Amino acid sequence: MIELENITKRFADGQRSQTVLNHLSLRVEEGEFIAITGESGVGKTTLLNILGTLLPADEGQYLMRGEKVEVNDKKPTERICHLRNKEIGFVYQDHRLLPQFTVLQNILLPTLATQTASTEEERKRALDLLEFMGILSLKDNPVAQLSGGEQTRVGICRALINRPSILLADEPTGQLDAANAQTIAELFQRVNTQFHTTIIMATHSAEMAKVAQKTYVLEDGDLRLEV
Amino acid sequence: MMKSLIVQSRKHYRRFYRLVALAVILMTAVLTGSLLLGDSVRGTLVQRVSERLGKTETIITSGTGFMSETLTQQPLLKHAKGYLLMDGFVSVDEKLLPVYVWGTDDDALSPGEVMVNEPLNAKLSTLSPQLSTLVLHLPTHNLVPSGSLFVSKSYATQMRVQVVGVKPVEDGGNLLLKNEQTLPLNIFVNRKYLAEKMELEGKINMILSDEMIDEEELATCWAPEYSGLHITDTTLTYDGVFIPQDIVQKLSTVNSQQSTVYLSYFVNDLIHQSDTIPYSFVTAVNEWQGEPLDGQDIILSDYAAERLHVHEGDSIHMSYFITKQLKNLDTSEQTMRVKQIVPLSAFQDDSLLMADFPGLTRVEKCTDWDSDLPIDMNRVHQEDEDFWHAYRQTPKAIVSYEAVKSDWSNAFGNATAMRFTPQTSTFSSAEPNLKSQISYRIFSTLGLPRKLTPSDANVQLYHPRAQGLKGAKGGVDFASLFLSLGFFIILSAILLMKNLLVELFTLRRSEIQLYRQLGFKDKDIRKGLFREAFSVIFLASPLGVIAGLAYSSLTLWLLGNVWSGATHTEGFALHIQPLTLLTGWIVALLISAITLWFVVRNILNPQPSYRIFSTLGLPRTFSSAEPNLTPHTSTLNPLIVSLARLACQETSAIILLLTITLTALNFIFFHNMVLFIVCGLLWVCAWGLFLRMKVERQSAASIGGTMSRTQLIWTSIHASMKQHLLAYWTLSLGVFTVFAVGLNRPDFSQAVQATGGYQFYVDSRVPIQYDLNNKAVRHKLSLQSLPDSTLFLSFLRHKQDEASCLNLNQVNTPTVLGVDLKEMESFGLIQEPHTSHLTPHIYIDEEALVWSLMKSVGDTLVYQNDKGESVPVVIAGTYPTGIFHGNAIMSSEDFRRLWPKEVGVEVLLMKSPCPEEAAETLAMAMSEYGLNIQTVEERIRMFFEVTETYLIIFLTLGGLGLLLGIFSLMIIVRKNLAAQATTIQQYRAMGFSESLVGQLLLRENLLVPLYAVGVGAIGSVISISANVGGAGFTTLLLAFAVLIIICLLLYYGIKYMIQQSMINITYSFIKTKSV
Repeated sequence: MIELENITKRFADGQRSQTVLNHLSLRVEEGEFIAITGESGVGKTTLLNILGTLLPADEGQYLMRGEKVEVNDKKPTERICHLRNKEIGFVYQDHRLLPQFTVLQNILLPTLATQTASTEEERKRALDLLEFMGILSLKDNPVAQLSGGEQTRVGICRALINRPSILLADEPTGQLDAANAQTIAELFQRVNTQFHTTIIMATHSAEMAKVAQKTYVLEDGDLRLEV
Repeated sequence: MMKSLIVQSRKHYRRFYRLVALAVILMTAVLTGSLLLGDSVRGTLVQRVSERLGKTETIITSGTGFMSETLTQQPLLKHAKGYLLMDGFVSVDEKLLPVYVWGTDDDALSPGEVMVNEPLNAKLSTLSPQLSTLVLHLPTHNLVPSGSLFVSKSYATQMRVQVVGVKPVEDGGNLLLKNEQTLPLNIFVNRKYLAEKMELEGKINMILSDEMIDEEELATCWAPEYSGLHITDTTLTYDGVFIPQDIVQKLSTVNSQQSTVYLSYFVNDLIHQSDTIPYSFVTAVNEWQGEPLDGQDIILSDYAAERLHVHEGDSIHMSYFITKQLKNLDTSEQTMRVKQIVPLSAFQDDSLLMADFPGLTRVEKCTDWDSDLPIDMNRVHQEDEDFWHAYRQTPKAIVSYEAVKSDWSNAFGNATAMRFTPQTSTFSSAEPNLKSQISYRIFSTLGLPRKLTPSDANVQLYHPRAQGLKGAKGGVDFASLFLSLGFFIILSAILLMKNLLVELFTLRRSEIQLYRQLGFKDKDIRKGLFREAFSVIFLASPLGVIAGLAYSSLTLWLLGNVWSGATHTEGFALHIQPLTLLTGWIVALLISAITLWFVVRNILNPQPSYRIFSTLGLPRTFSSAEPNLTPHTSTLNPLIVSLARLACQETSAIILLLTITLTALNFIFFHNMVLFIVCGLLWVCAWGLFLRMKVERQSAASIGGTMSRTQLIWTSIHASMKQHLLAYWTLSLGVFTVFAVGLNRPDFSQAVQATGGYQFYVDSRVPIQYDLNNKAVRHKLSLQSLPDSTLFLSFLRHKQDEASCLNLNQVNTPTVLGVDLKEMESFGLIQEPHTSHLTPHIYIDEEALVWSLMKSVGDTLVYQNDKGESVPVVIAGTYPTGIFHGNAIMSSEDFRRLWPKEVGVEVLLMKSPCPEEAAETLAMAMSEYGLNIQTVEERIRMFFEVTETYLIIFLTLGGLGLLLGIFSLMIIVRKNLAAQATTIQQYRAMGFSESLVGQLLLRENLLVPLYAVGVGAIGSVISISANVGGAGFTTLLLAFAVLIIICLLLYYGIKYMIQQSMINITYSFIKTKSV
């Protein structure tokens, strides 16, 4: 489903240039749940951002279902927007929920990228997701008042609202205690199995990585499959 | 260490501090500049006093009369110069220029040559660049006052003069005795030449002395002869023919038995049965050769008796012209009893019986009589010419003084001569020559000349400099005025500074948090931040003072050029007072420090960035599983919350309904300006409440339901409600105030309507002695082509200070117009019943009363009457500002009591069915009078232009203030966008296109400001709906342009900020954050 071929990404800071991803290649099949581990600063987030079309690669090719994905430095194209909205869901370590909105509103936000108002069906789907996550009672609460675990769950709901085929999760349990982290890990597993969603999760937690079908280690700009 | 931290931080955040410095500079500049403007205008006015007075410390005038030039030879007046000053006019290129004509003893001026001052030269150069010869028009100034009968029919004279140079300011070119800042148009002419042309040889009417002289000193060097009072042996005659009543009374009272009063008159007819003698001089005396003349006694010359065939004891009729007002001639008759017939030589022997009326007495033949009286020459026969040839003005009869005194006296006097005779018993047998000598000795011994004072002869003295300086220093306070006008700029600069500091310190929250974690006390952190920012303010403020100098210089230039409509004055000079600069600097520093202190104080007690819930408590549900989460509204009782919400909705609806109803009622019935302003304010308030309600309702609508982009925007607005409401109130009230004040023009149409239907205001340089409503007069003045229904309303004028808005000086006594007050009812003047007939009353227009005089109804002004006495005059009421703006209106009765000698009409109003033709006819027929004919609209617009210019200044400066406020708003938007970086990233990650993100942010940030501008603009239109047309097309266009600019700036400014923020977020994301 996803193919990365010889992806290279450098960051320049004045005179200095740092190669974060160096001719990296990756193939992810549909419905797969993979984990990417590595030390802090090794480039896990960069890789997820490239996969999420938020960053362009300097070199290499990104294919999705055999079609080339081209990301530029400037404005995202219509196709990229479509990919981000319909094909990819993103879960962040810091949740990135918008504090001015309620739980339900946050979840429905992605539906507004392509239409002026969300539909009743989408609302129902959001409620189903909330129920799936076990936080339906919080639907009208402001997100600022939720706990970290609840916020992560809301973030997952939001990522899933448009039924994406790929879910990218960047250290989703980074700010959670062990118990909450375990619950979230199980939720990801359920999402993967029930919705057949391809999940690519970046984590530095070995425990979290265990729930994935495959684990890759990112080292020196390249991925190594951990057996 | 702290110092080093401050310096480093200041350097690091220099981008912010540059803008903070700019805001401080702006505020200091406007503040200091406004104060400097006050000093500069005041300084310029004071300078103008020096320019217009030169070294003059004392002015001695002779009123309507004249003084002998020899008076200036007195040692007391060795530093004084005599002038012959007249009002005149020159006509250049069909334009009439009123000028002051100064007859001066300047050796550089030969007869026929004149010098002009710089302002007149500039005007002449503009009108006719090649002009070197001028035709100078002057009112005829004879020794005999024009207002009396028996003067020449010509009231104006003209002379052709050669302009030989420009008299510079330092040589007294701008000499002006009135308390005005406008530069006069002066012509300087050789005095002797002018006097000769005016038949006033050896006369002056003005002495300007470089020394302070008081009245006592003047009295010691003044003698009656200097004022034309001739004392020869036992007689008293006067150059002006009519001896002032006070002098007659004063000298008669000293020794009534010894004085004989003579009053010569020109009678139309002496009639006995079928015999008539036309046009004769007759003299009234109170006694004849020691015998009193009583009742209807007449003593005829044998010549007259013979022509009339009368004998002693017979009755004869005497008819003559009389006049009560202007020269409206009536014929009066008296029947006299012939007491005695005496030889004509008896009359010839007494020269006092013959008065010298120049136009009548200095001619060879009767047919040469130059008189304003309607003399029918067909009635003059050969025997009359023969009599004239032999005896000239020898009276044909003498009559009892008491019988004709009231008819023959006039405002200028009630005698043409006086004789002082010793007691008959003592000197009856003495030789006539001896008798005269003794009589004169008695006259001198009695000190009769010493009984007269300069003021008896209308010689008055005053010190203009003190009055001028008082007026200049007490005039319009431009410092306060420009502080008010520039208020919005100052306010916006403060807001800008505050917003920048808030943004800066918000950006440094983590830094502040770090200081706290490191153990710094809040007090020390505050102190550090304060010192850091204050050092910038302290360094920037002196630059602001310098910028203030530039601001005031620019404004002064604008006031003298582009905005000259407000001041009618050019050449304002910058006057720098160190104390003012210091005051401006310290005040600006204090304001900045207080603002900074508030920002620093609040930043350490941060409020939540987003206000999740409204205090009015929109329904929110909370998980029972999370008991530790406390909603913001938990303390409010739901019932109270609901009631408050309902009240908000209801209040908004009620206010809006009330506003619309009030506006409609006011528009239909009351037309009350204040009510319209209240309606405008209510409008802004109602829509403010509505906005709040709308935001809450829209935000609430999405809870629990589906979501839309519109709800997304409203919810975002709701989240930062406080900021958006602040933006609403600031912008809407700012726009409302600037436009409501800037466009609220005085009601021009109402002022035009309150003119009694008169269409023209006519100002005559030469006093008109006639009633132009009189048919005969119209015929005489070639005005017979005027339609009969053409009406004139005449005003007497006592010229004093210009009290209109054109004069920046404080005015003590405005010019007075005398008129029948009943006529003024149609001008909106409400006549108050006089409380006392002894105190004269005046009415002053509302604006002049408040702004120029700074007085109120019931106050008293002190005028000098014709005799130089101070007379209190009560302000009895006001009338709407209109064509008489700046003038006090007085009843003609009061006017004549105060200034009986000012009898000519100088102001006229005219209405006619054919107005334009009538104005043309009037201008042509009375061209020698120097009439300035204005339509009432033109005149009112001239005054309204001042207010309009000030309002345009307010609109301009207020507009600039608003623009600065918008810039300040941009800073807030930028700050908010920076805080929304995560949101923007999130939108992107969710697949929102860039244009959609931009659009959402633009709508979120632009909606309230544009709404506020719209509401404020409509509110201002409501507030000016009493006179929406009064603003004029240009002003409305200017206002519309300012409004469009505001909207465009808001749109493009916010759009630019959003684009920049999005680029910055992208940049930071791509280049750094991803690693």
